[in-house]
Amino acid sequence: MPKSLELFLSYVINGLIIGNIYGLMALGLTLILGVMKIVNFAHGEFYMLGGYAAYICSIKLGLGPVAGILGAIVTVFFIGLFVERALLTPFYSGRLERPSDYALLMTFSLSVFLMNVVIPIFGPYQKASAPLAEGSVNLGIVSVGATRVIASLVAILLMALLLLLLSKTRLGIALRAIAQDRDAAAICGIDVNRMNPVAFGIGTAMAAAAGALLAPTFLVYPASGSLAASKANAILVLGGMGSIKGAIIGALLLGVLESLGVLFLSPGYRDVYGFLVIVLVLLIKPTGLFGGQEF
Amino acid sequence: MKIRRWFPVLVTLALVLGIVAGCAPAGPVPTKPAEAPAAKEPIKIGGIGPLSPPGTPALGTEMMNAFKLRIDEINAAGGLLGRPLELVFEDSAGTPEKGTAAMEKLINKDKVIAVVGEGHSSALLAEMEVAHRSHVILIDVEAWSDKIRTRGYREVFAIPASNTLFNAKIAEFIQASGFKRPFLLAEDTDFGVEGIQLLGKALENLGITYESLVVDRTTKDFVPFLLQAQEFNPDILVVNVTGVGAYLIIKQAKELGLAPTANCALFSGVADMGYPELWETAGSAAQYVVWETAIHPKAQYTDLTQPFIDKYTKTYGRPPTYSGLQAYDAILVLEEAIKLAGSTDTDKLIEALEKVKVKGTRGIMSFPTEPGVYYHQADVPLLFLQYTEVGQTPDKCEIVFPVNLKTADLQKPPK
Amino acid sequence: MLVLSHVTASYGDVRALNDVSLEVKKGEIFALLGANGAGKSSTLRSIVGLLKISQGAIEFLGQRIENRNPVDIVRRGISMVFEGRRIFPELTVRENLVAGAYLIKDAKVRQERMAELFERFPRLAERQSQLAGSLSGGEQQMLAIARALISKPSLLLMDEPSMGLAPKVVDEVFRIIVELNAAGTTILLVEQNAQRALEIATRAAVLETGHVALAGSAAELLNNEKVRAAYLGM
Repeated sequence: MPKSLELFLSYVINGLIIGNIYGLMALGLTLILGVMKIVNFAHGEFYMLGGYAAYICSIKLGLGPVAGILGAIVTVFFIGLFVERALLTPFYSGRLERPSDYALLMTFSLSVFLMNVVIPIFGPYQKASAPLAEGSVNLGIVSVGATRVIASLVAILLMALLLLLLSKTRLGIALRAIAQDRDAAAICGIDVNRMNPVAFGIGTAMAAAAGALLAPTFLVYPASGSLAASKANAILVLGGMGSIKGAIIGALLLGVLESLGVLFLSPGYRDVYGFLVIVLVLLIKPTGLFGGQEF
Repeated sequence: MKIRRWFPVLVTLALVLGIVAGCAPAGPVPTKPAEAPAAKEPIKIGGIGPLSPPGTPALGTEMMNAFKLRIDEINAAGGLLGRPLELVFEDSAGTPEKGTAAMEKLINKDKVIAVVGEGHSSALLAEMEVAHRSHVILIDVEAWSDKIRTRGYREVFAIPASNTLFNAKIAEFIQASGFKRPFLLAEDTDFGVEGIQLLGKALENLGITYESLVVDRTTKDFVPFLLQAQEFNPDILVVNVTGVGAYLIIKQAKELGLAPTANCALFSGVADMGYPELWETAGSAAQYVVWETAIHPKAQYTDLTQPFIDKYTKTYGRPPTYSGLQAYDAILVLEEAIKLAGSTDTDKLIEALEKVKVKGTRGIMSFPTEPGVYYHQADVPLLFLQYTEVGQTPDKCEIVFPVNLKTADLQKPPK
Repeated sequence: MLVLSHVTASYGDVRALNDVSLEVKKGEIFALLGANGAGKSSTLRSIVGLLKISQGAIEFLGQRIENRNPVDIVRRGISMVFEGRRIFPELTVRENLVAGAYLIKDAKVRQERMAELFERFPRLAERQSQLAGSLSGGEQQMLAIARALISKPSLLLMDEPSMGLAPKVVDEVFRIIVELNAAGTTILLVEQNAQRALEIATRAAVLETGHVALAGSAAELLNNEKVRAAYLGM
């Protein structure tokens, strides 16, 4: 294989590996948006909480990396449930003039709150949770950190599980029904308001899983969620607000584009390339790649 | 029903209280003046530094701790000019915007007589404009930009190394250690970009070919950059990135099999290398990393060095890095100037500062007045250390450069 | 069976229903007529709890149900076919029915009901794994009806079931309504096609600007001059 092709492929592989993790984030966000019709601005902070939960379970309690990831998913699922019940119920109570503004302000404030509240608890210093594997994996043309290869595989597994849940179970059908038509779902006997915490819990747990999977490589600290959240938001727009297919394809696309941007353009603005593509996509197709397709 | 309706409100209130409580350590932290001279109006000293992202909170916290340590010591000994000292510390978040606002608050609201601190050049460059405009002394603790020195503001004094000074030493180290193909990675800040230019120039002067790359410091996945470095086939990777990126790069470079390896060494010139987080985050990847500091038990510069390190470690539960020494030295310098001037008047203090020779934790400090990159620049010792074991504390590291202080040869990881 | 007394409801500042009173008796087809925006759909929405009412009362089988959670109302035996069908376009035909049967916890019962419905609507059986959005208009209407029927409601609300359909399909829809009614389901029918509605209805009411303007037996209304002029185009 010629050297340049090898280099190109190694960038693509690296982009795909990261793209899967982005996908996990974006899928959680999409679920919340689809079911609740709100953009969760605190999504990155749930990612960060997932990282800390993994750190506590795997390092502080010494339970190992698997327990760290499971602990993060379970803990943040319940935090998500609590947050939804405690803070977001006014959103759909019918008592608010402009509920979407409420949801926006509330999740945004929550994001700032969570970012600050962890400073006195965990301190400003960076932590790493226990990695699932040490060393690196040689993929033939490029050697990649084992942790991120495994994180990527686990992300694929979790995404598959979520898709399975959504397509094969009654709960999943109910969630998709709500996303497509809230009133019609209510008349089917689906308690739409009770599904909100379920969607929020699962959605935030996905973010936590991403945070926990990356905490060994990308570290966890109070502001560690903001970049992840900005990527997830971008993917949401790129994929066409609320489309699950769009979220997954958008995430892989962003991962690869960012990686290749460094190769072909100036590397200093890596995090900008994805956003440039988003602007281009939106100019050509304002609804995003898969806009209009609900779930 | 009533309760259900109020529940969100109550929770919100609880959260707000939580935020206020959570933010408290990040806000101003006045040090209580000691009891004896309490009757007198305290001399207020402003502290500034990053306590929140995007700055490096670990750095700001360390400075604040070291300031407090010296100010408490002074107060315990009866204060200065018969008055106690009081520290008012403001968070700059390492950004020009917040830094400017913090400076204005310290000068206009708290009426401090001088400001000490900052660890990010981009923030300090903005802050020094406020200091210059308001004619208040600003002592730079850990910002390295040459511009801070060459601007020639009479109010500004520099305790840490400048980029020029620092990079000249790195180039010397690279040459002395026999490296031929350095690859430089720098963050996209004044510190990083200026550093890479200066180091490049210094390397060119020594006839060494190199390649360089500027990276976004907020990014987390450095692999694409490191793949480019790998293409160059370097024998040393020089990393000029602060904060989380410093750890991420080491970890990711190791995973890629790039550095530190038998074929390629890794040097990182940032304060973050001295924190225990290096091991907590980068783990075994950090073995064989070469870094630079001004602090080492085998380098006892003065009789103040070890007592400070001991006291800091005892008080805050972790050893200081050289930022702690520099912060402590900044207060020592200010203290000496106030004593010499017998006043807190800015002009008299500047006059005193330009005259003093102060014994600090890193040697004798004085501030030359010739314009240029050494204007108001204290002399700074630099040590190049290598972590030879996993989990090693900085004081167990070997000194590999300069030659006269060297305790061991540079080690390479086994193949 | 269903009694609305003095029901008033608004969307924000816009009053949708103004003192609406009407009664649907067990076993009948009750037709609700009126121009666009007269409040027909709002009446149905308030019955199933999708529109909160500010005054008045709604009773179903002797119990007050106004402003309750839709799920609670559906559980009591009311179901609804929405205007514009409102099937879930990105779910398959089968999944639409699974959603419709959400309150049936017993998997065996669900299977039986679904089999019954597939027998009744063979077109749906053929297309059960197709996305509902890909069905023709008529098929979508059948699916909407099937989805409402799977819970075996005792009262079925139907909002403009013939709208936008080909004449042949309209005939079929009306045939199904009559069959359902014959099998014991009470039906509250909102229809633009007043002529067809009155032909099959037992009783009827005419809504004008959120208020009941006329009510009586279907035959009476069919012969009423005003109704004939305004809604039957004669």
